[in-house]
Amino acid sequence: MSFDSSNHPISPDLYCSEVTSEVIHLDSDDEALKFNVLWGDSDHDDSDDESILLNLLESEHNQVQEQTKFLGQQLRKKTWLINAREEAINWILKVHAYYSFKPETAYLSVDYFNRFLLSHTFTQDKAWPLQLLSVTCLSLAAKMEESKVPLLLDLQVIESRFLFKPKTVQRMELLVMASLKWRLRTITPFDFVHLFISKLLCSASTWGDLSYIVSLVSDVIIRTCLVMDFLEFSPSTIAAAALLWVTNQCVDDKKSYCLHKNISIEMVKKCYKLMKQKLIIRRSELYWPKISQLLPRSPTCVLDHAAAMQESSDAHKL
Amino acid sequence: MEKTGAGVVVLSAKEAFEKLEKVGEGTYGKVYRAREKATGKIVALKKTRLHEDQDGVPPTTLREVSILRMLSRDPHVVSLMDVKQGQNKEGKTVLYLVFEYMDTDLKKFIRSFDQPGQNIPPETIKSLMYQLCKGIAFCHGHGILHRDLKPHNLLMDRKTMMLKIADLGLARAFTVPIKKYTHEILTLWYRAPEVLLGATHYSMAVDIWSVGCIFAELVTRRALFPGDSELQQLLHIFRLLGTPNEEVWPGVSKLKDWHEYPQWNSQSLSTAVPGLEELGLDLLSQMLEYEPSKRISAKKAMEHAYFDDLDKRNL
Repeated sequence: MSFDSSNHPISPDLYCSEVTSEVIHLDSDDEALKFNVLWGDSDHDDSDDESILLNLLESEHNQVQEQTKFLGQQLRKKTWLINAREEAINWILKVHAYYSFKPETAYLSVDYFNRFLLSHTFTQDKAWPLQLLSVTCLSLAAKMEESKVPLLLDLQVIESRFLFKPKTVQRMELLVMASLKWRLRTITPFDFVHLFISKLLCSASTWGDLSYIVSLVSDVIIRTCLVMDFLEFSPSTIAAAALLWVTNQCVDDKKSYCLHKNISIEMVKKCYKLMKQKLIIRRSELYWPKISQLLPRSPTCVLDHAAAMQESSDAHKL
Repeated sequence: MEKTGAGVVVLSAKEAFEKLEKVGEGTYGKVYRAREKATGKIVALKKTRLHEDQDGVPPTTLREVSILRMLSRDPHVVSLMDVKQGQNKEGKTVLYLVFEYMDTDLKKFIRSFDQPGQNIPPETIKSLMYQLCKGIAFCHGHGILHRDLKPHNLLMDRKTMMLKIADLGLARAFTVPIKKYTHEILTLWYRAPEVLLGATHYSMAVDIWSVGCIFAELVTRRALFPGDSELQQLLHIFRLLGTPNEEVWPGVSKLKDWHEYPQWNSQSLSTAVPGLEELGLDLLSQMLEYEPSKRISAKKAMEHAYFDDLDKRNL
């Protein structure tokens, strides 16, 4: 299987290649169907939602969050590795955008990459090991999450300084999986987004709004992968902060952000504040006005949106 | 590249285990009964060959292993103990998934009641069904759909009558929209009608439909809907439950593979599943609801009155 590159123009900005009216339209239909099918719109039962959320938080806790905190500490000791890691993640996100993979795929790729860095030492003099690790983690994530997975050689078509044979990548896959103890199905912020949205926006008037919000939240979550400082936050915290960040911009009514008693409000605030500080997160706002023009919105929301843009400093208060 | 601390010693599968006999073919590989040399413990080895001319480890292996690692805490999901690399006679890399050994599966168990009039005891059916609902509730509670439930994938210990869900190679997380695979391998008999009609987004309800079909089969010892093509599968379903329409299943006529079908009225479930008590028939009817969102959940099924008189202390 190979992809015709003319069908996948490379976007200058990572994930935002998916920001087109066609994608939004498709997402609207898919999201509406997803909500109906997954949770049965008319028969929605809050206790089931609560149960799923509790299970997710329990699994998240068992995921040994301490590990990624240690990674942050380790990285700070090696400046070259911080830059190399960011470069590797940028490469992953470019390939992700090129093939229009799902947001979950990008996030998992980086998660595997980070976890592998925890247990292995890399030396600065060779560049190919990190590139091989990037290809491998992206391949593993795509196999876990995507219905169609490009060939291993096709994954390496974009700005790769090295080209690895499938046999080499396979050996690396086995090494990475053994290192990760074959735990590839990990909890990500995306597991929480829909559940949190249903708490915050239970009266959303159109599914279009939901797919729009999900798209924006996904964009923010992806960008957190590029900033090392977000490693200290749990997936649920990142999901909550990203949703609050996005909804302060676009949703006309604010709801309590006590999404669940097991989620630390202090950590959400800290994460939110970090999002406000980091340019890479704020830059995503540049694409929101354009997106909003593609979707019908009520006059109230449009006015609120305009007001929010004028009073951005106020809108970002938590 | 160097490992920090003590590296994990990857013991070759040949050195670690003594193969005793081949016991079956899983969805994508052979399964052996084996003894772990170090402990003497009997295990099941599921072998997956990695073709080096292909693109690395197969997605189904990745998903199955990863999901099993996530679900291994539940007593009703088969326990994956380890993953070993090895080499076959031609020197090709193979993976061995090391599972706890279960001596039979539900398919064999049902077939063992092969004398006319010899039925599975009602209390046994009830216990097995409760365990199945509990295991599926656990999977669903963790965002995992099985998607290929059938008696062959439900392992049993004959002595303890414990039941465990196995073969999650096709399982998917909720967050992954599931498009139809070109070569999707799903047993027809247990497939939900929305899948047969081309729905692209599956829900937990597809597993519940399969559970309902298995429930009926435990009672009658015959498959409830034994179709040999997708069309025949649908017609089997429609003959018993009535041909669906927009009234009983809103949206059905808009599904991708919907056509005009012969119009049948629904029959009573008791005609297809004679011998099942009234409460069991009620639970079964809720599992075989046409509209996916109205189908009972696994968690609610566990609370159904059919299970009230079951001793659940050891389940």
